[in-house]
Amino acid sequence: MLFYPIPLQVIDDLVDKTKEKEKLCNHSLLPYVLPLEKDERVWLIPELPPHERLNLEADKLQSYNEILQLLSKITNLPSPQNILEITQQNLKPYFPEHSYAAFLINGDIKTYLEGRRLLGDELPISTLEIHEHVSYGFIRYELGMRKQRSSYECKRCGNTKVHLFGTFDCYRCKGKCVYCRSCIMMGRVTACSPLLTWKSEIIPQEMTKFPFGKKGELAWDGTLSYFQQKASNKLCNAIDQFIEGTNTHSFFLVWAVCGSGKTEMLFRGIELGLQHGLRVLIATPRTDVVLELEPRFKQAFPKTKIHAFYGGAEDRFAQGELIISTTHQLLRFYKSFDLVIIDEVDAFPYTADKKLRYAVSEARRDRGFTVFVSATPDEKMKRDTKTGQILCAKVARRYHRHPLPVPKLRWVGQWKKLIEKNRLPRELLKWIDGHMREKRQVFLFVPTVQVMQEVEKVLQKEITPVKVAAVHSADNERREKVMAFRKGDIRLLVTTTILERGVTVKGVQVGVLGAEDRIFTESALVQIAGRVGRSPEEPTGDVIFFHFGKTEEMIKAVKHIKNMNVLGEKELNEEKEGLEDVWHHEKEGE
Amino acid sequence: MSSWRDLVVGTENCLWCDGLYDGMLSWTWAVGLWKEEKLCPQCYEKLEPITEIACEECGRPASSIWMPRTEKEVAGKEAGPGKKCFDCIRWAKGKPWDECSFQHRALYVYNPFMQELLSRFKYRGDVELATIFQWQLKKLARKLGTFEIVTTIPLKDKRHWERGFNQGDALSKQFSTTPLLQFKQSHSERKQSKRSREERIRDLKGVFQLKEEVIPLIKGKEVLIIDDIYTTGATLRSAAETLYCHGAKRVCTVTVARSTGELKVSTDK
Repeated sequence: MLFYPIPLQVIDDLVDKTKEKEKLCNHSLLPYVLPLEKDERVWLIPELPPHERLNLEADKLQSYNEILQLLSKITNLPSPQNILEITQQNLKPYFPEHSYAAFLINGDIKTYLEGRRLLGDELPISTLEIHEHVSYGFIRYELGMRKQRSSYECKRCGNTKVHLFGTFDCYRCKGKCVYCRSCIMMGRVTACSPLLTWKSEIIPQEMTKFPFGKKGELAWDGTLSYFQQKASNKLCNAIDQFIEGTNTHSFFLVWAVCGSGKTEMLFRGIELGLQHGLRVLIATPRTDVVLELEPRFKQAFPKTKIHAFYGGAEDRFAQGELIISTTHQLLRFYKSFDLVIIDEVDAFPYTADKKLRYAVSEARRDRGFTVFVSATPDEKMKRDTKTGQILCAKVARRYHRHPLPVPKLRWVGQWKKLIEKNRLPRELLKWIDGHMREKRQVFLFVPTVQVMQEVEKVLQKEITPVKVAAVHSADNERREKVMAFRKGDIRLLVTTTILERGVTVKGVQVGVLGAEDRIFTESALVQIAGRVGRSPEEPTGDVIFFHFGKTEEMIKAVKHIKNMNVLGEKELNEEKEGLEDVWHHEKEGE
Repeated sequence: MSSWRDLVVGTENCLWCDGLYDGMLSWTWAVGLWKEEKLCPQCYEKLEPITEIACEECGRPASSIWMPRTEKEVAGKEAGPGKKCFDCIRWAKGKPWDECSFQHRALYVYNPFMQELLSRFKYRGDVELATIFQWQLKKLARKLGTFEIVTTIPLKDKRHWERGFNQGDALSKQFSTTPLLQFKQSHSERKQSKRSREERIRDLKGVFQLKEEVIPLIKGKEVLIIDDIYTTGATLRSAAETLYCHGAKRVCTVTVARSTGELKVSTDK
C-alpha cells in the first residue's frame, strides 16, 4: 500500500489559498486540524487500490481526485511511497488528536480496533473509511516493519532473524517488498503495510476509576495451602499498591514448583484487579493451556466477561474484561491490558518464551503490572529477584507437602552408537523392565524426533508384552496417544517434548535418554523431573538422567531441585511454628 | 534470504518447519552448479513426486485412485503410453481439443502436505515458499521441450491486491516470462476453489483474452503456461484455448501440484 506524503505546510497553504476554505477544512482526506508547528511532519494520503477505485461512488472518487489535483497545483506532488520509505527519509507522519465533536465514528471499527493493532486486511472496511478515521484522529497508521542494520524487525511479532524474512514482487507497492515469515499465519506483515491502531488507547489513560464491584467477584471456595496463601497474600499486596499508584515495582514473579497449584494462587489477585476495573490478561504459549484454563476461570469468575483467544477460536475480535490468550493471538493486542499474568510454567520448548515476552510487552499498557508464573525462571529473572528489581514469592513445596523427587544421573556410554545398531543401553532397558514388571508407567524423553523413532522401534522389539508408543509435538494422533497413556492403555511413552500441561499420571516414572543434549537445559530438566510424584497417593518416583557425560545443566537442575526441597522444609517448620503460636495464643486467651 | 553465515557453517533452516538441518555444501557450490535445498529431509519426504503417469495428455499420476463410472472410463483406466485418461477423452470431444494438442505435467501429487504448503503460499502469502519449486519447474519444462514464450495465468485486480502477488509469477522466477493473458470484462467474481467441475468448465469457457500488443507475437509459437495447481484443468485449458485461437503452434502447461480427486481442493480462509 502506498501513501502520498504531503508536507503539512503545503496543506496549510492550500487551505489558505483556496476560496472554498470551509469545504477543504472538513474534507475527510485531510486532517481536521493542523498543529502550530509543522516542522518535518507530513500528512499521509493513501493511494486507492485499483478495485476500490473502480467501485467507488462517483462523487467520492471525484473529490479524491480533486484534492490531489489541488495539491499538485501548489507543489510537486511527491510520488506515492510505502510507509517504511517515508519514515526512512526522516519524515514524521502527523496524526491529530481525536475529536468526537467533528465526526461520528463507525462503531464496528471501534470494536475491531480498540486495544488492538491490526493489518488493514483484517478489517472488512474500505481504505477511504479507515482514512476518514485517521483524519479525525481515531486511527493511526504505524510501521509494520522497521529496517535494522543487517535485518528487519517485524513490529507485530518482534522477529529479527534474517532467515525469517522473505522478499517478493509486491502488487500493492509495485516493487520488491519484505515480509515477515515468522507471524505469517496471522496475515502478512510487509514493509508497505501499515498497522492500524485505535488512537484513544495509544495515550494511556488514567486508571479507569469506576470499579466493577461485584462484577469481578470470585466464586471459588476452595482453600489454599499455607504456602499458597502466603504467595497469594504477597501478590494481592503488590496489586493493591499498583491500584493505589504507590507501587515501587511493576513486575512480580511467582516462583512455584511443578504441581503446587499455581492457578488457585492467582485467583485473589485477579479478583482484586477486576474489582478495580483493570483489564486482565492471562498469556501462555500453548493452546492446550488456554483450553484448560478457560472453564476454570469461567467457573471461578461467573460474573466476569471472559474471552479465550487461540488458533481456531470463533470470534477473533471479541472484547472482554478478562482475556486468556496464546502467544500468537496476543499479537493482535496493543497497549490494552493493566494486569498481565504470564503463565509459562510448562512452556516447552523454551524458545517460545522470547516471542511471548515481546507479545506481552506490546499488549500491556504503558503503566501496567506483570506477573510471571514459573517453575523455572531464567538466570536473568533470578538475578533480578535477588537485586530486588522484581518482587518474588516462592512456593517451594507441592500442594501435597511432599518434597520433589531428586533426579539421579546414570552414565550409559555411547548410546547413539548402540541405537545405530538397533540396541539400547542395558542399564536403560533394565530400568524400564523393572518398572514394567511392577506395572508402573514410564515417560522416556529423548532429544530428537529421529532418536525417538528409532528408540520406539527397539523398545517394541525388546519388551514385547508392553504397549509402547512414541509421540512428538507435530504428531497427528498426539491427543489420542496421550489419552491412551493417561488411561493406562499405553504403558511406555517415548517423547521429545513435554506434551500436555499436567499430564498427571499417577505413579509415572521418568527417564531422559541423552540428557547431555543441548536442548535439555536446566529448566527443561527441572520441568521434566516435575512430572513425577504429582499425586498425593504416590508422591515419590524415579527421575533418571541417562547420559554420556554430565553437563553443567544436569548438575544445575539437580541443585535447583535440592534447593527447593530445603526451602520447602524450612517453610514447613515455619508453618508448624506458626500454628503452634496460634495455639499458644488461643491457650492464653482462655 | 539466507545469511552468509549459514552458507559457511553449512546448516540451513528448513523453509517449511524452520528446523535446522545440514545443508549439502560440496564442491558444486564453488563452481556454481550447486542449487540450494530449501526443505529439510523430513519435510521433503512428505512431498509426493509424480514419477509415473497414467495419461500422456494431462499427466495424471499413475498412483491416483479414481473410480470409473462408465465402460468408456474403464477403457481410460487401462491407459498406457500414448493413451488418454477419461477426463482427457471427454475434453477431446469438444473444440478445440479435437484438433489441438494439450500437454500438462506437474511436480507433485496434491496430498495433505502439499495442500497445507500451497495454502500457506497462496492464501497466507508466504511467497518465499515458491523458491522450493522454481528450479524443479524449469527442469520439468525442459522435459516437455523448448518454448519460445513462457507465461502465467493473470489474477483479477481485487484478488491480486488481496494476495499482493501472482502465484504463477512467483513460481516462474527461473524463466523469463511475458504477460500475455488478461480477463475479459464481466467475468464472475467467485473463486475457482469453491466451484464444482461442471461449474468451473462452464464459467471458464473463454474468460481470457490476449493483450492487444502481444497478438502478433503468438502465431506459430510454442508457449508454456505456469501455475500452482491443476485441478480439473479448466483454467489452464481455457488459457491454452485462447492461445490456440491466435495461432499458437503448441501449448504446454506445468504446475507444482496435480490434484487427483481424492482430496478436496481447499477453500480460502
